[in-house]
Amino acid sequence: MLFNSFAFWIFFAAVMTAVYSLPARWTQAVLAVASFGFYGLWNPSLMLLLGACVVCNFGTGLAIGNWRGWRQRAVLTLAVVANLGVLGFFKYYGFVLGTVTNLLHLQVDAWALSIVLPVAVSFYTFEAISYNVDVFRGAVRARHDLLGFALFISFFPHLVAGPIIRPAHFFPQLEARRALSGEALAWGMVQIVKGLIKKTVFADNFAVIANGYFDGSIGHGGAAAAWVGTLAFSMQIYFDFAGYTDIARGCARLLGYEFPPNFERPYLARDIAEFWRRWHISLSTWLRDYLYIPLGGNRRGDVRTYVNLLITMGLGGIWHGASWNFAVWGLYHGVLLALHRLWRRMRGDAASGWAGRAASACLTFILVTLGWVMFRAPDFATTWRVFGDLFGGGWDVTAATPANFLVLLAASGLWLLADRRRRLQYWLSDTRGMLGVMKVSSALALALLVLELFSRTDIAVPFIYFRF
Amino acid sequence: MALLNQEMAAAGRSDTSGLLRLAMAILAGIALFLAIDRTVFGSALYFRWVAPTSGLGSMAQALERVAVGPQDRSAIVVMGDSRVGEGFSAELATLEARRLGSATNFVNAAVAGSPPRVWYYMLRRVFADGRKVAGVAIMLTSYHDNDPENTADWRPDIVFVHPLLSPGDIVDFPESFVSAPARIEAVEAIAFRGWFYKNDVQDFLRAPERRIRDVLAWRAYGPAWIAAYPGRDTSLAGLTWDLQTGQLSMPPGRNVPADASIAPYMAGLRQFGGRPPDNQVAVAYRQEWLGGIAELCRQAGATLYVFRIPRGPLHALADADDEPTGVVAELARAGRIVLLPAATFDDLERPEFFFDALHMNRAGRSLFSAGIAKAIRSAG
Repeated sequence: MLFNSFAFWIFFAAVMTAVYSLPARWTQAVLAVASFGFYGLWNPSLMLLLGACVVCNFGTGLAIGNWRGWRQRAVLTLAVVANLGVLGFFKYYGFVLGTVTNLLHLQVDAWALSIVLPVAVSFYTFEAISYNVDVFRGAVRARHDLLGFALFISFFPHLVAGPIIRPAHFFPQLEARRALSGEALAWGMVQIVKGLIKKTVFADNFAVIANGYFDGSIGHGGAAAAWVGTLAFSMQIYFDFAGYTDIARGCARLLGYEFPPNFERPYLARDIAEFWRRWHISLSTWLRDYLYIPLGGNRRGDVRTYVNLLITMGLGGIWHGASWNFAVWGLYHGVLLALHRLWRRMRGDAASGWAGRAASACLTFILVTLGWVMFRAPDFATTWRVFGDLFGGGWDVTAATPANFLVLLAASGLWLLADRRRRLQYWLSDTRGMLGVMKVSSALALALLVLELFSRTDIAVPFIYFRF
Repeated sequence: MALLNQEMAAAGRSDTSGLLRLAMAILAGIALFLAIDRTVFGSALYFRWVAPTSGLGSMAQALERVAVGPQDRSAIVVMGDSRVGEGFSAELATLEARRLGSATNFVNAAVAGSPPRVWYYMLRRVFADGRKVAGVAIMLTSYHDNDPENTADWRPDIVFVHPLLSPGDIVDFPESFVSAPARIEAVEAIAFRGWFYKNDVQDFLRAPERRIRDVLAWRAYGPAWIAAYPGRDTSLAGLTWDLQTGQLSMPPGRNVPADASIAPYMAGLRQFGGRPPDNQVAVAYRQEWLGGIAELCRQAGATLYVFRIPRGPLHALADADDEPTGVVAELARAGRIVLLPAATFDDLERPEFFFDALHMNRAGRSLFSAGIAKAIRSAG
């Protein structure tokens, strides 16, 4: 059940009605049942896995909270290893098996298992790990109510593709009294409409262009086609994931919860470190807090810092999927971060002045966009082909540029400008006075018209991060 | 405590008024959207500017041809899919009528890919506009209830019909489909008119000048272009089929892969000997739409003629199948339709009159057009 499907909105309306019509003490139960049901619609048997994850981590959290010393550390180790074990088994077994058997020239069949990759396993195992670690560090107290903890892990707006929620952010909201205010309703609805436009109008239209190139049906051998396809994917992945996040945050807000932002206009970042502070923020901060800093961060000298960056980004890359392409994509960003750090030590901070800032932003965007080639291409062969096209292909711009590409780029620019510093969000959430009502109703009518006329309903483009 | 109660009450009022304002804004927004949608796409405002060569554009032109045709009771509107579009010339039929001493003027209202459900809504629009005609002639491929079962759930019909629907069709039109997804889509077609213009609007916006130029050109010259269309010169003359072995010999210079329509046509002909089995879906479909067209014609005082279109280049080899059965037979017995004899065009079901498995060529078009005029004259 995808966020951009009619079925989801029927489901969401039913859940919202139940939440606000039943007594407040039932809210968490309703949401937990709805979340498990939502997850079960993909594959009912995987509800057992999610349930086991909830129960086991609830138990380890209590043990870590109650015990001290070696027993506490042992349980934490067990919890982290168990969560990584689940993730590793379901997500990487086939990949590791293929790599090992290939290296040792063994038969794959003897070891092969028919494993279904559980939707969202990458997200909820990371949330479970952060919970155990935070309890160990004393950053949060262990939950004593299973229902609240189950909701933390399974809450359906963030379940399948994040944002990755932190216990310290979510638990206090469980205690808060829930009432639907006009402000929350307006804010949530604006987020949802914005997210739907980002996904179905921008991302899906860019997807058609990107798929046309990456799937090999158009533009083989042309540099112009390769740049158009790569740029299209760069825009697709931003609008797709940011759109998903907007919808998730909007839904959560309508149900009385707040999720942190996951994107802060990342393509305007002036260096790669800033990019990672603006892109998939919940993952990058997770990697920082639970991997980079425990590895020593930047506290153990320059060389170790660069190594830590490579390890963190390499593992972050492979978190996205069981493929060497993702690992190389992560390492590429690790190298960029290390080079940026080295550059800053040698030459000081980023360029000043508007021209310098613009040039820095352009360079960062191009480097990030080139990285998306590894992310999008299904294998190394395709990656090499695309890089070959990008830097060695012919320049037949007219033939390579789909008619709507430039229009889409221009519309994207306008959109980003209009929503700068979330202006649209705040402006449209304010319904004070008759002017406010007219403003919101006009914007809603316009948004519905845009969705009606420009969303891609003729093709099914799943959210990119659903497969992670 | 009293102060706290007052603050809580004020907060409650503020929250209620905030929710009310938002509800007003949402309702006003939806109403505004529906009003714009209805004004632009639910009227002729946009419909007049659809791409002339698209399926929807061809329907718009067919309706336009009927609208600007002879305005007395001499007109006979001929409806069908691409088989009528390729195989029938209104000008040749009118000439033949003149030769026979009749004042009948034929109008070709064929739309490629359209079935009886679409013709029903087109006719409803024609008659609602006050158009008077002497008769309507519609094609069928069979005088039995043996249409393919997916005909009733044929979703492209929604794309054709949506500009002709009104809120009053919100129950009947969706109900005429079988599957839930098709029914939902049919409801969307009535509720959200622009949804089905999506591709056309995007195409328009990509090159507005070209679209406006094309539409104006088709308005000015389209009827003349269509009137001057002579049909295709290529033919399947030389195509043979061995009934015993099923061996097919293509004419020189043509082959089966190049004529994609031949293989499924031959498979159907061989499997069913020209007459697929009847089915209940087809019975219901014909009762609804042929019955509906007959009723529209009765109310408009027009005679409804039904003819069997030449079915394919090798049907002459199949068993004779001339006796109508099922819904058309009942409608004919009840006097609601005039059924032209099934065998009227059997002589045209030969390779030399077709350019592929479905469509007549120039020679077939010429004979068929004259034949329609003669048959309708004979039927009275």
